[in-house]
Amino acid sequence: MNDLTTPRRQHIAGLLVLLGWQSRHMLRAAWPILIAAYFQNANDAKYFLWTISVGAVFTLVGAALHFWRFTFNVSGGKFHVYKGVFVREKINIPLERVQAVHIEQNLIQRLFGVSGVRVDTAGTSGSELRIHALKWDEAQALRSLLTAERSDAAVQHEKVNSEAEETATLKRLAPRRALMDLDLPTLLKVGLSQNHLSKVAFAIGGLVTFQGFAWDIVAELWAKVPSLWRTVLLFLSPLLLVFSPILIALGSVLISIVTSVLRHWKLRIWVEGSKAKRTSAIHLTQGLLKRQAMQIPIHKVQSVMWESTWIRRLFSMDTVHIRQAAAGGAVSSGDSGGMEGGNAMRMGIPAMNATRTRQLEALLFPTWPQRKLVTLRPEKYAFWVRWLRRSLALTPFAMGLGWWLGVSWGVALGAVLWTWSGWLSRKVYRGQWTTTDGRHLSAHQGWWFRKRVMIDWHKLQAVELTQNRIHARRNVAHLTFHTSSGVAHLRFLPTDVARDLRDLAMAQVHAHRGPWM
Amino acid sequence: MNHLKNAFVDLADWPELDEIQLVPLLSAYAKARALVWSVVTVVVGLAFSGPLVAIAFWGDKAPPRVLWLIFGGVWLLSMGWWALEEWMGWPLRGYLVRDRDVVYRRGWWSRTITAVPFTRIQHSEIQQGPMGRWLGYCTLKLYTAGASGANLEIPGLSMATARNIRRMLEDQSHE
Repeated sequence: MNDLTTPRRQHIAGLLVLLGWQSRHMLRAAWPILIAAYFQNANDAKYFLWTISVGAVFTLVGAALHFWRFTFNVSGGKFHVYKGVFVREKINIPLERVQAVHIEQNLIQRLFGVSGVRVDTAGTSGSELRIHALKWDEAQALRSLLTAERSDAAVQHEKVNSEAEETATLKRLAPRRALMDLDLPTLLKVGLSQNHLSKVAFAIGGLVTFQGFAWDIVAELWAKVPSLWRTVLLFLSPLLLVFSPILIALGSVLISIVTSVLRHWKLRIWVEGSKAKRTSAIHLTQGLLKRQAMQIPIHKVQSVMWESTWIRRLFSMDTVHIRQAAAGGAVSSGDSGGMEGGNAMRMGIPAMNATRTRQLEALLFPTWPQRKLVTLRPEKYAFWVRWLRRSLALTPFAMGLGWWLGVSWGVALGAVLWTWSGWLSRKVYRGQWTTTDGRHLSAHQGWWFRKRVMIDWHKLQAVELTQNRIHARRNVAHLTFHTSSGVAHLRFLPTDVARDLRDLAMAQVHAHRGPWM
Repeated sequence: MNHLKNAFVDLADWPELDEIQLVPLLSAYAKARALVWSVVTVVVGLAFSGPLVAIAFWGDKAPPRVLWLIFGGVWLLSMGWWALEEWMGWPLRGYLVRDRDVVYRRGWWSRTITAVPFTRIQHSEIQQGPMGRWLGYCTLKLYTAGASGANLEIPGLSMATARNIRRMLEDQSHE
């Protein structure tokens, strides 16, 4: 095994990967320049090309310097990273702060027999650490070192190589329990049951964007078609209008299937390690072109989210996202009960059926349900507020139609929109409920797209109770549970229930004596 | 099987946060907020009315009265609402440091009470800007783990209070 205890650089292929990675970032930042260059005449375009060339040279030099100055090693129970070209930066990460380590291998990396390593440390700023190229066995060894939990300070100062060997031995001896081995029919079902609407929107967007080119090509081809065939094609052209939506839909489904196969090819999930020694972790490998190997220690899991669409429910499946404490990133707040959080390094598992869900619950929340479950629903006021808001937002359409075609048409459309909004609001309201056993929380939301979030109150970061003056008169309040992987909202609860839940959650945090991350 | 143990917590004696008298913030911070409100009100008012006045004096035609009414109404309503929120919300602002957590309450129209356990605080920061140095207050920032946005900011503290809270946090983390 290569020595990971002394500072070392990445594999030389990392330079190439880094170059590709930085070029992609540069192209993302420079796309307005490229578009502007496209619309310039040949004389002016050369200035843009010069700018792009200078940018490319800077990218190349930057990548080379970054590669040269980036070194890392593991020693003394810490992961040390040295980086920076003009400003030297030394990062020391205690191993117990490492939340998850993922190994990835894209096409270029596979070509050179190397893989990338991403390390999430749940820092409050920036995202995870990334090593672009390590040999596969070195990446595995590094992951073993970074995710091995140490109970004893003395162990931390032992030679790292012996630690890795010890961990490997433990893993060999530890039971390995398979959770999922995705077969091809199920993989196709996953592809078929994806949300195709986004792909349809993408296809329509593409058609609108490139219609100018498309018309030029069609006109060119049309000129080459013999006149007899032109007559036949003109006669058949109305059929194009009928079949084009079907073709777009078929194309979208095909894209969904292809992307699913590429992403989830040979998806395997298993649990390995000893829970008593806190080495138990959930492992995932998948991918056809880009191979991924993820690992999250079970005791580091902060929240779990299941989500499903109506198509996926037809196949009795949903997708689960397992979240460890996430590095600082984009976190937004939604308008209804649910969970938000950064997407960085989230482990997503498709094709979860009822049996696998029970297995996962038992694994990640072994004490659930600890006591008899209590079900909480938002107050009926939540339905009225949603109905009123949605209906008021739709009313301008009815007013516009009334102004255009007459009052009766406006009133008719208004009635339809208000009825539809009321029906939808009722569905959403009925889909929003939460169960708790006094230690865990399982929050459900949604109707068309359903979500379920589970958290353990022992791992909470903060609890927030919000109530505006109208809510106070109506005796309702919102609760927000902050975990280190995202936020769970419970909206429109009776005020006394919200206060009790907040106090109970805080009491659970205070009563918990063990580690939480 | 220690991880399966989970003692029942009796909530009967657990103090409810809403019944506890919170500690008010320094009045210097109220002055700072009032100052910010005044400056923003004047600047926004000038930004709204300036072009209209310019058109009225140097333009070919005076701007229609409805424009004055719309801009003036929006300015008056938004700044008035903000003033009301500050005036009514100030007595409600307050913090509380208990044995095991820090609580902060804010807001008049929409009231928010945030509680952060000591054991979840990763690091803290005391911040004092130019206005804080002039008026004599600072802001204590408490950072929790991850990306959940559970960080807590308590503004309007004296430097001594902020340092004491910080020291208490350090003591708690060493226990």
